[in-house]
Amino acid sequence: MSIEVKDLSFCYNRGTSLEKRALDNVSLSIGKGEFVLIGGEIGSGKSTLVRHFNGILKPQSGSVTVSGMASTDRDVRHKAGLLMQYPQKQLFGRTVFEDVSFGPSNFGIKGDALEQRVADALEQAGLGRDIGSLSPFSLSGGQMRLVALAGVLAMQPEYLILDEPTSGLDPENRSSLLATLKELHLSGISVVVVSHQVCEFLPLADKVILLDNGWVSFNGTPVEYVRSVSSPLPEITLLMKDLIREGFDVRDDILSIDDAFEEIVNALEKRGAGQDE
Amino acid sequence: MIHIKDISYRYPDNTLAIDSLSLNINKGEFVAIAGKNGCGKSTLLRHMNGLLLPCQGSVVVNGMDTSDPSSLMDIRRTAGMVFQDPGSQFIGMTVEEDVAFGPENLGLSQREINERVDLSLQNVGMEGYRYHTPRSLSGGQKQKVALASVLAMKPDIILFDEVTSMLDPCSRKDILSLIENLHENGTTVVYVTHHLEELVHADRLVVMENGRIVHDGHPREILSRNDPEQFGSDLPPVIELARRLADSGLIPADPSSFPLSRAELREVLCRSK
Ligand SMILES: Nc1ncnc2c1ncn2[C@@H]1O[C@H](COP(=O)(O)OP(=O)(O)OP(=O)(O)O)[C@@H](O)[C@H]1O
Ligand SMILES: Nc1ncnc2c1ncn2[C@@H]1O[C@H](COP(=O)(O)OP(=O)(O)OP(=O)(O)O)[C@@H](O)[C@H]1O
Ligand SMILES: [Mg+2]
Ligand SMILES: [Mg+2]
Repeated sequence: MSIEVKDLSFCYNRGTSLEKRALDNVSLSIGKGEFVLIGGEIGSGKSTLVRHFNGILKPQSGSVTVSGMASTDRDVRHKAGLLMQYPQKQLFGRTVFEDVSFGPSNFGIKGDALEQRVADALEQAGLGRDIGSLSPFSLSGGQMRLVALAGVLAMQPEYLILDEPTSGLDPENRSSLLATLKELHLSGISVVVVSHQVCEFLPLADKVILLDNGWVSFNGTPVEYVRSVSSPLPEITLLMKDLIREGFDVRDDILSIDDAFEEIVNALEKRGAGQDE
Repeated sequence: MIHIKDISYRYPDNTLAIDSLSLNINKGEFVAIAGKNGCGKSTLLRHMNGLLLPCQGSVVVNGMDTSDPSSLMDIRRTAGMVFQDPGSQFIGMTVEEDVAFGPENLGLSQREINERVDLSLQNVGMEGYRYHTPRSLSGGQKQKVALASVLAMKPDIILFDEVTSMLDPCSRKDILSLIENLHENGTTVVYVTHHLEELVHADRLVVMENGRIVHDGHPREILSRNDPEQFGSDLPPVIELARRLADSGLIPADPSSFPLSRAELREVLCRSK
């Protein structure tokens, strides 16, 4: 079971002077349990693509199926939960509780079970339980994004689709979100992340897809990505490449701070030893 | 330029978002503001152009007190703000209209207005989208147009609230150098961010916690200091690496030369080899 996208094209403002082809013959597949990272420049079609995964947009040509179900089926929302890029659009309740419980209560969950779902989702999103009684519109930008995220998590979708989930989060909330996603992925949930911070998610991803002007310009593993794409690469990797150019004897495929530290220490020592001779 | 004296602010639901805070920002300074989600950064910024009035204390912008209703228009012209959520800022039906709105209100000639609209859209790389509806743009495109609309007013002070959060690495770099350019040409810049690697150009870093200021100093001083927990953040990888190298004595530990970016760390390493 998977999300299958076949020859998908999509045009905004068709037939007008502002016609814009946002997706052009896109084919790809997101396997059950996979962690897929989608990157690409501003306006390359990322949000347009993922809005097809839970049926907000309907294919103009080509097809999208989610675990065998056509994305045009109403029930596809039960399978695929989408966190939108500007989550303010997604919030509507008088309280945070009302907001987060909306999805699961629509699926028929009530009473204590519902309370539990909401509490779990808030915790997974890194929010305190006491936030439940506040109005979502009285929150800061980052807090709003986390509430919208909790709303998606509370639906416990098979496919968790997140459009720029770390944007506006402080570094601490960013790393706890990464930890939550890692855990969900390990428990078998499929995760699709759209992000400009490709490097932040690289260590978690099974697959990286890049869009360029509505086309799939890259589709491969993170290792293939680091080897074949010139940017964006993690700053640490770029630093090592810089140092090699400056004559340092270090590896060029370093992704972590620990490894970089070790490589630099060794390179400096080797130099020191060389000079002593 | 901006004098904030002992202000407190409570939202109508009684949340205390700013707690007895004072801050002076000098003309031409580039001040970055960081801190955890919900610590009060946006609330503080909204006080700097009179969008919010303090419950206690005073805010004076370029000699004008924000509590004086007759100065409010002048204050908004002096201090332009690019919002965290660009959608909340759009007024025009088209991108062009939106960017022209500010200059029109300044009473400029049509020629000057056109020039400013052209230039601001070019500066953010959105000249191809003049006739589009701001609402129908992609996330990053919205952010760029919101930026252009404020640039077109050429305010003396610009308040940026997380304006690079939806940009790809390439546009992020472009926008950062645009902001650095404004700063070099005398604009006072107040820049809220969660991305500490963006601070290379800042003269000053202010870190907030629970509506108060807990650090105020040069970014090098603050980021090279020992306890990152203090300002509630994981450090950007390059800075974390630099600190470890400094701790082991492999690069100088002196805060005044502490590297804040990849390019700076490369230089320091080349010098110590
Ligand atoms: N509702 C809309 N009406 C018209 N055009 C649109 C609409 N939404 C998006 N577009 C256009 O389609 C293209 C792709 O937009 P999309 O939002 O999918 O990009 P994106 O890759 O998500 O970009 P970003 O990283 O900036 O969010 C852009 O050129 C955009 O201007
Ligand atoms: N309209 C509002 N009504 C009530 N409380 C609010 C409102 N807006 C913000 N708050 C509260 O005030 C505090 C400060 O919010 P603010 O938006 O200034 O934070 P911030 O530092 O900008 O956070 P972020 O990094 O998430 O944008 C938070 O506790 C928030 O919940
Ligand atoms: Mg998008
Ligand atoms: Mg804010």
